[in-house]
Amino acid sequence: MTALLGWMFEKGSAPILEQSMNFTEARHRLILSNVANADTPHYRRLDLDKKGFNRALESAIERRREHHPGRFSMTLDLRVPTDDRGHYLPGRWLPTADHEGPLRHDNNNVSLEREMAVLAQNAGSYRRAAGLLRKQYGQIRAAIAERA
Amino acid sequence: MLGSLEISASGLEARRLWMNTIAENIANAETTRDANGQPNPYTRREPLFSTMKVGNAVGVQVLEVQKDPSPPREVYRPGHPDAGPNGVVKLPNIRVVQEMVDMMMATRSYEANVTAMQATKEMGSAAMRILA
Repeated sequence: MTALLGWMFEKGSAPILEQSMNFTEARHRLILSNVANADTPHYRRLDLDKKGFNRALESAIERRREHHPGRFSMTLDLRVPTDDRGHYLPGRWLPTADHEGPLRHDNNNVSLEREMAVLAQNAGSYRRAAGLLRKQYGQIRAAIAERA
Repeated sequence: MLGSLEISASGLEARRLWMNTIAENIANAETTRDANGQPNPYTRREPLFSTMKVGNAVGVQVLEVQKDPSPPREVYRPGHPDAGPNGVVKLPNIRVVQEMVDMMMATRSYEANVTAMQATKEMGSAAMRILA
């Protein structure tokens, strides 16, 4: 029974969506930090490596296709590494202080416009992933309840 | 997700405090005496922002409200009761136009934090709907 349940939740896109939600949530927190610190002297914007994450996710999906043809189970851990107190650890997708963009006279490089754009994009990815996950679990529920 | 709201809340709080100091500055732009009625022009105040750890992200806090060390404005007003022997009155080192510009910046940042909070709430309810 547990094997069946495991199969259900690891099947298809569920693990991919889950990883994607984990990542976008962590990134959301850093964007919020940037918005909150838009007027803090000497603050540099923080961000996670989105391109690196997407590449890793893509290659994990590729690997799954090669190793388990016809079977969709995937063990995949692309979480942002944290220590036992929940603080981000440097390393994978490390929250980097971004030195891009013009510095203002207060030595701060946050552009409110850019942060709001990134925020909207990132929140959109999260909501889309959550919506797809909901659809998928809905199908499982429908199958359990034997209704279409 | 709850920790996320805390980050934006710290941003809102800092901006509200900033607005308070701006309001104080504008209200006292012409104040030449202190609370004891002694001639002593009001000094402009300004909040000092610093980062603050919130979980694994960074919020903002007001470390202190500093006094602006720049010298008082000197205006020739011989009829003023606090004018010196040469007819010059020392007015607070406040330029109302600068305060208005700061006020617009504080409002803009406040609104950005409110919008960010809204996005956080929407993400939270999207996550709740997964199993609804």
